[in-house]
Amino acid sequence: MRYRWNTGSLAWLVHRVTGIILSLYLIAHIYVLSHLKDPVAYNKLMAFMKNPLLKIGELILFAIVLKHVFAGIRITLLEMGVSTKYHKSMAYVGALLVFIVWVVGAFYFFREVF
Amino acid sequence: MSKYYTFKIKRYLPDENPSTRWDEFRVKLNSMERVLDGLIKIKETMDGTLTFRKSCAHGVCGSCAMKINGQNRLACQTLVKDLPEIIEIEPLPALPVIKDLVVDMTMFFHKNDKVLPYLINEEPPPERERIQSPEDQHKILESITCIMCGSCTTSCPVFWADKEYLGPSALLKAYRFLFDTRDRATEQRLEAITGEHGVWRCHSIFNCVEVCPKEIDITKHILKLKRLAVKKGFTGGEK
Repeated sequence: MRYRWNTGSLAWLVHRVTGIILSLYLIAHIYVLSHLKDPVAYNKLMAFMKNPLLKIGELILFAIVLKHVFAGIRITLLEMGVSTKYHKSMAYVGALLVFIVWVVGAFYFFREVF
Repeated sequence: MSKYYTFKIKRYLPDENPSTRWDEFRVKLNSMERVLDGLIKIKETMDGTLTFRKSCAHGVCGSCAMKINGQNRLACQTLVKDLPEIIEIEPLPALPVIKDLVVDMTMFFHKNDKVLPYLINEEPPPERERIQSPEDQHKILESITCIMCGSCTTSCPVFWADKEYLGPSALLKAYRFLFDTRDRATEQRLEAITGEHGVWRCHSIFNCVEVCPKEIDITKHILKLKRLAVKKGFTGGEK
């Protein structure tokens, strides 16, 4: 079924999708780390993680985390009583903050790699 | 100024064909006419089998709620001049279709019954009436303007996924009585709305607010219900 998207429904969809991605990521993350008992294998994986392609992957993950966090803050503020009049502005400000924090974070990420 | 509009209407005529189809009609309408005027013209002059609900035609009865260009609206309140030349019309989403644009609203009204949509006050009635001050009336003013057209509940993605969900309309009705200072059934009402398919299913998606023809901020009311439920200790769980 097709239905018109609005700011509220898009914010909800992005929150959901990032949430599902993060859940899957966390399961994989904990699974891999908990099976790394050998120091040599651990160091090998850590060296592999320095690969610039993986750093880009981490940056994407960082963006997903930020988007999920700010979407969560918006919903929490609404639940706590911040006027629903501001729900759209909060979604836009949230997206802007995601971008700003991501750019600052990306700067430090890249400084570490190159 | 008159202009031709193409009405693309999703048809469902179960007596003829069990599947749906899209029919197109070219209708000349002036800028002050509404989608409902277009539908009436089609029914009267082009295809008498086209079926839709209408009654007051002035945004009061809520009969002509339908999905117009991807969003629920009242056909009688939507001016054609505000729409593109191609107007796509479908029945309200997620309800069983009886014929063309007529949906079976039984499920929708049943939700309303679940929230006890009547004043409950066992105290002996005063000689004349249970007084409500203008200030107290103001607390529920927005919620009593609901015309129960069904646009909100059928626009809610939570309802699309969970047909048992009370939905914005019934929750707004629950608010209307919970915040009515003459009502005494707070606990009974909170019990009714804090179950598995109740108020906690609202994810503040705001689709209901976008479509309400009476411009009621329904999400604001549902959020207030959630805060009241927490304050009174009705947090759901095994209830």
